[in-house]
Amino acid sequence: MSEKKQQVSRRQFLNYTLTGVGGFMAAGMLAPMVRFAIDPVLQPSAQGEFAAVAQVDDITTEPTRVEWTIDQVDGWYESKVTKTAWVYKQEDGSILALSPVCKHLGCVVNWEGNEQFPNEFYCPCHGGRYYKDGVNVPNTPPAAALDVFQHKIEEGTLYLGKAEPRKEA
Amino acid sequence: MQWKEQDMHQYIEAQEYVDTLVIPLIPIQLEKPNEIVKHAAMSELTEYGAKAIENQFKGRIFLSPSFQYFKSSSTKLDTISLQQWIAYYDHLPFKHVFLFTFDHAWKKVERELNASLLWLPAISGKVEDAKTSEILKEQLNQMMDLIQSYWQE
Repeated sequence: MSEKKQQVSRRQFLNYTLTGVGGFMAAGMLAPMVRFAIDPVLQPSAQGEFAAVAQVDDITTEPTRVEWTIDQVDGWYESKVTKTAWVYKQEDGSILALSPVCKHLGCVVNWEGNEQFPNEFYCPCHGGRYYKDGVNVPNTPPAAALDVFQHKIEEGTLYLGKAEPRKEA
Repeated sequence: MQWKEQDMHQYIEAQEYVDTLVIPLIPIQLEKPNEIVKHAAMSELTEYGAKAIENQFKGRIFLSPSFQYFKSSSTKLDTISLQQWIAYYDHLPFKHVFLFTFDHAWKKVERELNASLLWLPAISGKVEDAKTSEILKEQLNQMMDLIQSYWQE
């Protein structure tokens, strides 16, 4: 056991001091850089993606077309894009918002767009057909059901988000 | 489909489904000050309308890059160049070829062109104005009905 008093030499003292102050300064410089570097990751991505499109009370069991505009950024190109959805109340009272984009080659489908096929969505380009719930009619061109918009209801207003492929039943 | 990299991947896969060509006709006129604005507005309407039609019928329509032409009072419309464009696309299996314009001058030379002319009368006002856009939408809806009637033949 050494009872010897710990001596801090002049060299050690300077080393400690400089490392401490230097480290503090370096941290002060690097912290904002790191924050900027990872900033986009920290941005809440869901914010602003939902748009108010209709009052829930106005929605009936008949699919109605709703339109809204979003600011879209493709790389450096910013533009306003009009989005549309077919919205209606299902039998259980829940709301279904279907994307009008045909899953065949991307045309826009219409509700009862062809007199021969009542109660169906119809694609004018190649005769694609979908049942009211958005599921594609077998043996018509589309190979998948219409995409479904994410939706939420706040204070009686319907908000729609992104359109997502329908999960396999 | 538009003449864009992303759309062309899809076009190559699905060529047999794309049987309709739309060529927008865009006038350029910088000589008469009182007509400059009118022609620029006409160009904007044409581009906006052509894209709206393409968006609706993406899987069946090929939207050609626009045919642009100078419009001065002294020169005649360049039907020869336009006919060359149409002839080029004729090599490809397009069953229906449409020319989309707001310029009525093309109506008079329609017979010299080997395509169907879709002409809409130009409306004044900006596309962004609610009233103008309402009228334009209605016009475009009728135009789209017309295109569909060609398909049903």
